[in-house]
Amino acid sequence: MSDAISTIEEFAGREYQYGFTSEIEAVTIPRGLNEEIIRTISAIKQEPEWLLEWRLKAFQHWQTMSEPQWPNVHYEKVDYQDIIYYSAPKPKKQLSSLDEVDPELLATFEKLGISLDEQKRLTNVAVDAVFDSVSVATTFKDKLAEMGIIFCSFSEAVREHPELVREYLGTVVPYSDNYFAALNSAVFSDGSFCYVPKGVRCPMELSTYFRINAKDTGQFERTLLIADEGAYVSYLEGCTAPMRDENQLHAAVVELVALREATIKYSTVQNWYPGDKEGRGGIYNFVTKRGKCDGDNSKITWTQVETGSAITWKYPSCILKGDNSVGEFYSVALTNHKQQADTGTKMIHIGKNTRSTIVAKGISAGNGQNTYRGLVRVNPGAEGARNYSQCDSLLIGDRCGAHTFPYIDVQNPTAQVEHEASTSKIGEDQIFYCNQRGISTEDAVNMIVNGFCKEVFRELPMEFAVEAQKLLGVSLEGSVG
Amino acid sequence: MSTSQTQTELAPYLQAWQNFLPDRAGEPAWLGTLRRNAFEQFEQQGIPDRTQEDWRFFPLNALRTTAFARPLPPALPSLQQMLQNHPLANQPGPLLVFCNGTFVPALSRLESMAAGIRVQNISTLLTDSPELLQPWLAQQNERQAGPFAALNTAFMEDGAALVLEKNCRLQQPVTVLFISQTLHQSSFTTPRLLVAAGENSQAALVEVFLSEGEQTAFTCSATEFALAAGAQIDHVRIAQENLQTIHISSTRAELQGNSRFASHNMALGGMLTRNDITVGLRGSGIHATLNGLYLAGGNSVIDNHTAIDHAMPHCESHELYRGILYGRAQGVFNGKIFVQLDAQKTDAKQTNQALLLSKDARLNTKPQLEIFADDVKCTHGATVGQLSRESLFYLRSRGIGEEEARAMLVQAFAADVTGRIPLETVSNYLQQMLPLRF
Repeated sequence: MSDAISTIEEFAGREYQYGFTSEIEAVTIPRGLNEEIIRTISAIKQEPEWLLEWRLKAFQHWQTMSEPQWPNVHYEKVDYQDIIYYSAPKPKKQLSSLDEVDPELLATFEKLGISLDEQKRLTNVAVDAVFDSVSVATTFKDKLAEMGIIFCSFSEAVREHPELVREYLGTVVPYSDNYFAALNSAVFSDGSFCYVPKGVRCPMELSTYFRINAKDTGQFERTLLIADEGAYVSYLEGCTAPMRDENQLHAAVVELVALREATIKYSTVQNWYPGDKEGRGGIYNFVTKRGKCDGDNSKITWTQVETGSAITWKYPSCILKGDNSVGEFYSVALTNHKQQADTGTKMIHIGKNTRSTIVAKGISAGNGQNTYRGLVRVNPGAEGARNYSQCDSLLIGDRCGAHTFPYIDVQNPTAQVEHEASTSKIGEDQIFYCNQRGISTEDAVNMIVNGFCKEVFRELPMEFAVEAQKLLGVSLEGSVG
Repeated sequence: MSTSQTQTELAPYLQAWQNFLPDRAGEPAWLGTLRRNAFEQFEQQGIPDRTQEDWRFFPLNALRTTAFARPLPPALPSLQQMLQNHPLANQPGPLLVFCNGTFVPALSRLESMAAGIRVQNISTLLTDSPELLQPWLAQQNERQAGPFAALNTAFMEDGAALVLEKNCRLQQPVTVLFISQTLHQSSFTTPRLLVAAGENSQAALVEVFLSEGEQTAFTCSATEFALAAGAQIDHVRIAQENLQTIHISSTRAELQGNSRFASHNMALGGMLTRNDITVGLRGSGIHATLNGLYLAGGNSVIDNHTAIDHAMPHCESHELYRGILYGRAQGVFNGKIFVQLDAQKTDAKQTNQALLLSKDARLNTKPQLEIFADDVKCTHGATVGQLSRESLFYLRSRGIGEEEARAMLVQAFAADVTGRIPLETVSNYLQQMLPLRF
C-alpha cells in the first residue's frame, strides 16, 4: 500500500489552486464595528430609513449576545473590531454592459473558469457576480425580467423593490436568530435577491459566484429568495476565494421563502481557501441558511458540497410549515489537512403530512474533523410527518475524526422518523480489486469516493455535478488507510 | 457555581451533610476522604440546569423545590408482606434487601459462598474487611461522573458488594432489592452497588428498585463494575418505583481485555428517571452489551444516557434501547460512542427505537458517534413511530379486540429486549409488569 499512500499524500497535499489576489482599488471604511460604521454602510448604499433601523436593532441585539461555544470546532477567536466591514470596488459609473467592467476583475473570474462572457453566450446561466461586496455585473436580467422574475443584487432590490424586501427580510432568519445572523443583519454589505412570481418556472439555473477579495475584509452576504405560488427556481451558489494568511470571517445569511406549491432548489459548491497544511489562514465560514415552506405542497431542496474553508459551521434548514410540504438536504462535506466542519440540517415539521429527507456524507482525511449535527423535530400538530435521515462517514487516514450529533425530537405519535448512520473507510481490498483491473490507486480512490457521494451529486445541476466531482478529485482523495 | 441561588438550592443537602458526617466517625479514614472529596464535587457542580447539554430535557426543578429528608428506619412487617410473593425476591441465589438505605438481614438470604466469592452488604464489609472494598469503591472517574454520583458517594450508607476472585463463578444470580418505604414522608436514599470481578470470574446480578407507599422519594443510586481480564458479568437493573419518585442513577463499568459485560436497563416506573451508563473498554477483545427498555406514561420523564468509550482495538459493543411512551410521558435517549485513535477494528452498533402511543407523548433521541480511528465499523440507527396499522388489522381480523391487540404488539416490541436477559424468571417477570392498556 505504500505506493497508494504516497499517491494519496501527494494528492491530499496539493495546494489550493485558486489562490491569487486581484489588484483592484477598493473603497474601504475604517476597521471596527460601532453604530457609526453601520450608519456609514447604510449611507454609502443609500438605504431607506427602515433598513438602517433594522440594522441598528440587529447590532444592539448582537451586542447582548455572546459567541456560541457549542460547535465542535476550535479556532482562534475573531476580533470583531479588527475587521473592515465594508469594501467595494470604486464606483466607476453605471455599467450597461460587460465591456465596461474592470478588465482586471473579469480576468479574475476567467482564472476561476467562470468567465461571465463565456457563460453569457454559452451556458444560458444568468450570473450575479458579487466581487467583494458589491455586485458589478448582472447578466440575463432582461430575459428574466420579461417573465417577471426579479434577479438582482440585494442593494438594487432595496432600491427598486423595497416593498418585497421589507415584507420578507428577516422572516425566515430574524436578526435575533443567532450571533452570526445578528452580526450579518447589522453589517451585511450586499448579496442576491430573487423573486419568482406566481406560476412562473424559472427557465435557467440562477447562479451567484462570490469571492472574498481585498485583504482583511469580512464578507457579509445576504441572500433572499422568494418563490411565489406555484413558482419554481433552481439557484446555484459557488465560491472560491484567494489564498490568504489571515483568517477571514464569512458570516452569510440565506433566506428562502416558498409559498404554496412553489419549489426552490438551492445548490452550493463551496471551495474557499481552507488554509495551508498546518491550518494557517483559511476562511471561517459561519453561515445561517434557512428556508421556509410557507404554503401547502411547497418544497425546498438544499444540496451542498463543502470542500473548502478552514472552519465550516452551517446548517441549511427547512421549516415545513405548509401541509404536505417537503424538505430535502443532500450534503457532502470534506475535511482535509486541519479543516474542521460542523454541518448538518434542521427539519422542523409543523404542517400535516410533511416529509423530509436528509442524506449527509462526511469525508475526513488528513487531520480533518467532520461533524454532522442535525435536528429533526416533529411538532404536536404535524400529523403523519415522515423523516428519513442517513448520515455516512468515510474516514481516510488515522488522524482524522468523524462525529455525529443527530437530535430527534418527536411530539406526534403518527410521525415516522428514521435515522441511520454508518462509518467506514476505503478498504484495501477495494483498492486491490481496482488495481488488479488496471485502475490506478488514484483513480480507484476517486471512483470509490465519487460512488460514496453519488446520492448527493445526482441532486446537483449538471454543471455543478461536474465541478463538484473535480473538486473532490483535487481536494479530497486523501489517504487510503 | 457558587452563586447565592445555587447555595440556597444546596442548603438542604449541606444541612444533611453536616448532620451525616459525625455519624460516620467509626469508618476507615480513606472513606472519609472519599466522602469529603465527593461532597466538594457535588457542591462545585451543583444541581444541573437545562442550559447544560446533558440535562437539556430533564426537569430538575423538583429537586430544587422539595427538601428531601434522610429516610426513617424501615418498618419490617409491611415490607415482609410485600416481598413474600415477589417473584424476584424468591428466585434462587443470594438475596440482599435494603430498605430506606439500611440493610435488612431478616429478609435477606446470604448463603455460604464458595471460597473467593464474597457477597455482602457494604457496611458489614467495611467493619469486617475494608481492604476488600478500598481498591474499588468510588475509584472510577469520580470527577466526570457528574454531581449525583458524587452525592451518592458522599451520603452512601449501605449497599451491596460482590467481590469475585480469579476464576470464581457464581451459579445463581445475586438479587439486590432497594426499597424506599415512603409511607409518611418524602425521603432521599443513596443505594450503592459494587462489583469487582477477578480474572475469568462470572456472575449475574439483578438490581431492583421498588417502593412501598405513595410519597415522593429521591433515589440517587450509583453502581460500579470493575471487570478484570476475561470476567463475565450480566447486570439487570429494574427500576419500578412509585410514580412520585425521582430516580437518578449512575452506572460505571471499567472493562479489561477479553471481558464480557452486559447491562440490561429496565426503567418501568418513577416520575423522573435518569440513568447514566458509562462503559470504558480498556483492553482488546471486549464485548459490551447495553440493552434497555423504558416504559413511561402519565407525566413521567425517562432519560437514558449511555456512553461507550472504545479505547482499545478489536472490541465490540452492541446497544439496543427500546422505549414505549404513552399518556403525556417524555422519553429521552442519548447514546454516545467514542472510538479513540487506538481503537482500530472496533465494531460498534447502536439502535434506539421508540413507540409513541399517544398524542401527547414525546421523544428526544440523540445517538452520537465520535470517531477518531479509521478502520472501524460503526453504525447507529434511531426510529420513532407508532404501532403498525397492518399488524393491528391482522390481529383484529382474527377476532382480537383493539385494546388487546395493541397490548400484544407492545408486549412483542418489549420482548425483543427483555428476551435478551439470560435469566428466565427475570424476563418473564418484566413481561408481566407491562401494562395491559395503552
